[in-house]
Amino acid sequence: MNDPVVKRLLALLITIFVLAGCSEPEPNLRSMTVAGNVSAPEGVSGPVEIWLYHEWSLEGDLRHPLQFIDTFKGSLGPYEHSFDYPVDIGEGLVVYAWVDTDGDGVNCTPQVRNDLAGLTVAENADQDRVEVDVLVGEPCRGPDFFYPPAPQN
Amino acid sequence: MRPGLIIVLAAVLLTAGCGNPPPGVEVDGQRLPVVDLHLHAGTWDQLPPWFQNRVSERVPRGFKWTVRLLSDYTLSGKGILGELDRGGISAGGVFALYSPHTTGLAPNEFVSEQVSIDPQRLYGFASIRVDQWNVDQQAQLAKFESDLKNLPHMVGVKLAHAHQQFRFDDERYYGIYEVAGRLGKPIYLHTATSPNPGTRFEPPYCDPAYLEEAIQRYPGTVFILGHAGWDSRDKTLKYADAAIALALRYDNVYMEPGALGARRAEAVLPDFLGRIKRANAAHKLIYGSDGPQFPTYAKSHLGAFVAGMQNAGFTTEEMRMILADNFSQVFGLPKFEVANSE
Repeated sequence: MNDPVVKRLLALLITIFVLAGCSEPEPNLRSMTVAGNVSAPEGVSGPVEIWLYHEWSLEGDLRHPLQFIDTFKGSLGPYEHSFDYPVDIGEGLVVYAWVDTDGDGVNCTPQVRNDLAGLTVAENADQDRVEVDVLVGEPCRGPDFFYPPAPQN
Repeated sequence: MRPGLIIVLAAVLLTAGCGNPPPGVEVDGQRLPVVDLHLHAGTWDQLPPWFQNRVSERVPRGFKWTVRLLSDYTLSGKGILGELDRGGISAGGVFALYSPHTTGLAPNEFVSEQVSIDPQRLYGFASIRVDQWNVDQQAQLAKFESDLKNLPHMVGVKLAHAHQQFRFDDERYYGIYEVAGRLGKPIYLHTATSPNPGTRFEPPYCDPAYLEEAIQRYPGTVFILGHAGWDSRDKTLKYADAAIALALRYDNVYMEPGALGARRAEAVLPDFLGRIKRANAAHKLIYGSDGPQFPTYAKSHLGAFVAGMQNAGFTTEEMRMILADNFSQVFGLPKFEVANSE
């Protein structure tokens, strides 16, 4: 280690390691459009929030459902939305919607429990345009209420 | 972690031989013991890629190769003990974590192992996986109960609804509160949101007011409202008043001010402590930092928090309760003591 050549070589190697720090890779995104219809029981009205999720994300112990992708606002009836789908961190597409029946911007408060939610798993999520209809009917529920579903006996 | 991480770490390493401060903090001529309720364990491999990126971006380009090593050490039992020593902190709570959507996993078994290196100073908090609740809730509840009973050194429970993506008012999860209450393990619950990608930010996941029904239904379960409603994404005390109101209304509710001593919360800390002081809620606040985050974080958080309490006019006895005695009372432990300086 006392050899000046070895010292210089070590210093050079350390410098290379330090300077060779990689920048983060760009996320792999795919342009995608989701369209369909949000419907509710008769007499229900109000603005709608739609949330998009990977059906499943990651592998091994970290594998889990419902990784958030995007959210947007709409209304009951037809909707269409284009977004960037992260390809490398998950697969599938889930559309969750809730209707804000009292217009307060929150999916139920502790006192007022009338907002309704629903969820649909997209078929053919590998395509660039998918059609997904959602029926909202469950009060005060998040997406985990619907997915993954309980096993059928 | 922040851009000066490497410099800080180097400074820590260089000064490691210089000795740590004596245990406790000096207040009005007395040394008060300190317990930090809120510390995280983990490993780099159990962080999801989006959180690895968030951690990495705080490290200067050219040093990113160090992040794995630093994370694994900082989030180990040994690293956490070093943090306690540097801050003069007597003991700390170490949290398990099952948040694959946001900040990753720190399994109960891993936390129990880390805590085992010094169980007189490190206290484990078990958690439960909930991301496939419709499918496996019975199995998860059984494992959770078994872990609380059988894994060494588990004194409490850690939940983070906003990270784990379940609503405070969802009764399907109330079995968790039942088990914790029956086993006498206080529950720490993250309130408000966080800047970490994927964390829920809507009120049903963040506002502790949504927890009130569960608090009423399980009077034998202790609920510790983590971060006391401090919203670190928006940098506001969004739900602090709701947290204070619940803590004052119910015997089984407490608060923890994690991250309110961080630089990010500098502007709101005086307001928060003023609200606690005016509400006479010192007996309901249990100190925690949300460390280790980066070397010397626990120490700097403690320094800012103690200075804030002094500026807000807390008495020495109130500070003693917040910094250690409330922890001892809630977790059924003897009071922590430190030697007073001459």
